[in-house]
Amino acid sequence: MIGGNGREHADREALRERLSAYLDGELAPGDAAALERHLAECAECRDELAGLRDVRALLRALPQPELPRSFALPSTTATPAAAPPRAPVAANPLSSTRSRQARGTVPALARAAQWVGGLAACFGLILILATTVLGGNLGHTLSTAAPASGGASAPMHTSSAPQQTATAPAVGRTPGTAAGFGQPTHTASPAGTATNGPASTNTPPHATAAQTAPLPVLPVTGAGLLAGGVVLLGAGSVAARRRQRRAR
Amino acid sequence: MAQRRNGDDERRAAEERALVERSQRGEVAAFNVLVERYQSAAYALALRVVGDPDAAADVTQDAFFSAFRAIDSFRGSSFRAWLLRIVSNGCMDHFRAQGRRPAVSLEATLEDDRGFDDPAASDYRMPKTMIDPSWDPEHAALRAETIAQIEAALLRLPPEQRMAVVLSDVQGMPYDEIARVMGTSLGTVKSRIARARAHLRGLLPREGELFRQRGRPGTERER
Repeated sequence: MIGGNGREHADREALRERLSAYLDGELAPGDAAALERHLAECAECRDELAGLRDVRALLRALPQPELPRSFALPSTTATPAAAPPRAPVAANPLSSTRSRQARGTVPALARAAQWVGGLAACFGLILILATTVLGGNLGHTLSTAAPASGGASAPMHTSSAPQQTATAPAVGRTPGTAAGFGQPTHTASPAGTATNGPASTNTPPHATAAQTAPLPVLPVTGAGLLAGGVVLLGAGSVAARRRQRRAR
Repeated sequence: MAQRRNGDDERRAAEERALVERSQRGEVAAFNVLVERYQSAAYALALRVVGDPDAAADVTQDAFFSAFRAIDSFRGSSFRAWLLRIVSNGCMDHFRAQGRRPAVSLEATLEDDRGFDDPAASDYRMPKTMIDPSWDPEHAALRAETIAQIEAALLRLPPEQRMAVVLSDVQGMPYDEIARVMGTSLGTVKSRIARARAHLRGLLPREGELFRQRGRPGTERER
């Protein structure tokens, strides 16, 4: 395709691109003027331009497809603030895949914090119960206490309140572990409030035997785990909720 | 006339800003006014790019839900461009889900074009008697068969070329807006549109009447 002006035709792709952009008025004024000068002298390019224009005309003539139905959202659609956390793809419709994956790590971290926090809180609770309420036979009590405490503590820290209030009266009964209970009482009180009276009827029979607790350090560890777990759980929930409110 | 059009545009823009603000406060009813305004364009884009009406309806519905959920992050001046960007991403997600990777590199796009860059195709031009230069695309009617041929040809383009040329020629979007919608550069948009048009020329029939004519062939006019 060698025309009179060899330079113009050397790169057919580039030329077609210039003609196509010129057709849409997207060439810079200087480039457009230069192209027009060339077009005045080159029939081949004029034909090429005409062909591009014809294709564009066909596309412009396509009728708008009939709408199959209305796409209006149901009036019960949750508002953006109240909507539950979505999978990363839906929550970031405007971001490219790469940034979507990068942003996906933060809600993932928040979720991981919630899991770790929840598990730590469970474990802490188990330790406390095992060493104080259920006496010195640690192995036996751990295996029996695990399902009960785990089931109660898993959903939210607030729902483990009844368990915590049950341990409160045990504090007074077991002087050996009283020192270690400074912390759990502190964490139990916001969740458990003042229910020492009625809860005292729930006092497990083995409470008095617990004073010979093998390792006083275990309740402290348990308390620490419980406290740390609750903090992580709370932080994770707040982070997850703030992430979704600031949906970008 | 130009002034009156600007006044209408201003009023419409102000209306739209109010609707967006109400949507941001959680009013589904306000958002649904926007849905009504743009659903035809959204569905048309999805259908022309994805090809299948059911898939296009899914992409469109998902796009509106996504848009409502993310309405807080809408900052620009053109809701239409923002919405069509969501639809466009939805189309690309659809292709990925189908396992068909859209041509992401220029090299891949080149490979697809090679079959259509033969000399015969480049010499082809539609005979002038077929297309009346004074023919007005707004009012001329295409035969059903022609529409089907164009739609089929569109579906043979690589998805990214198809999206670019549909946004430009079917949706009437300027290049810089297309670049924002597709998340790419102006140069890439120019290239994809040019290739798409050349590609389509090679695919569309060279004979037979494609249009119903109006009036006599006039002189060749530059845009």
